[in-house]
Amino acid sequence: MARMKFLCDAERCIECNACVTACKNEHEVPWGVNRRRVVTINDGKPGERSISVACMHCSDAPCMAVCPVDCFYQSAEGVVLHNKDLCIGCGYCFYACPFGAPQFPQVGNFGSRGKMDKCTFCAGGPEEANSDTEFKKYGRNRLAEGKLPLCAEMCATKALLAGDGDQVANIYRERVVGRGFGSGAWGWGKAYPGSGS
Amino acid sequence: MNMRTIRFFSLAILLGLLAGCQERESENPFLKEKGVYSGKPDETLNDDTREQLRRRMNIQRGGSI
Repeated sequence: MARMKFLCDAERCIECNACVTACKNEHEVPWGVNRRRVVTINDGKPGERSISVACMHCSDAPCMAVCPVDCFYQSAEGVVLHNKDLCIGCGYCFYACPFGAPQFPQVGNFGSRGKMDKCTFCAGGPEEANSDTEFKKYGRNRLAEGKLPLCAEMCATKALLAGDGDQVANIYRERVVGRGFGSGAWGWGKAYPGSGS
Repeated sequence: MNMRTIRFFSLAILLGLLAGCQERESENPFLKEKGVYSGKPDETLNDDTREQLRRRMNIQRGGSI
């Protein structure tokens, strides 16, 4: 199996924000933290496009490179995950991430940052799969249940694709060939250099 | 309070503080190699689950262009 990848087809995204809601609900993400969000460019103007953005699980992840405590690791499927027991909430990963994926919950009354939280590709964390501890720290582990990320699986227009990188690329290629144009698979060049975008 | 009592209590406080510095008192590793993840290893998916994920991917193909 190739590595796991996300792709948002900007030609199909209708900015319904269902992916954002599904993610928050599935993982019981706390207030102030959004693992996924929808970004709209040229809002209200000709050429308006919306893109659903979260951690892209980059092949050469900048967050991993800058983390001073090395709390990141990549799973066998290429999913970039982190260990909240090691995270010190320094925020370096947030500055390094080109997608603004890392999020920090406010833990005190004076704006102090808590442990980093980000999209896990619904793959949980280093705790025992589908355990209570894993759910509380990282959210649900759908991959261990044989399910793909909920944001993509419930996308009404199938704009958001998630899964085996080769299969994702094939689906998108078929679409581009069918309609005669593409929107450039936003973010792919940055997240997966060398895979073609 | 004489000098001897003060010294005794100072030593007791110092020992108490040093006891808190022991590695087993902290969840985080003290010695680490740069660029190497030193946390708990994650479980890997088995082949059946991978196959299930591959099949499930086709559901996302759905719809027309």
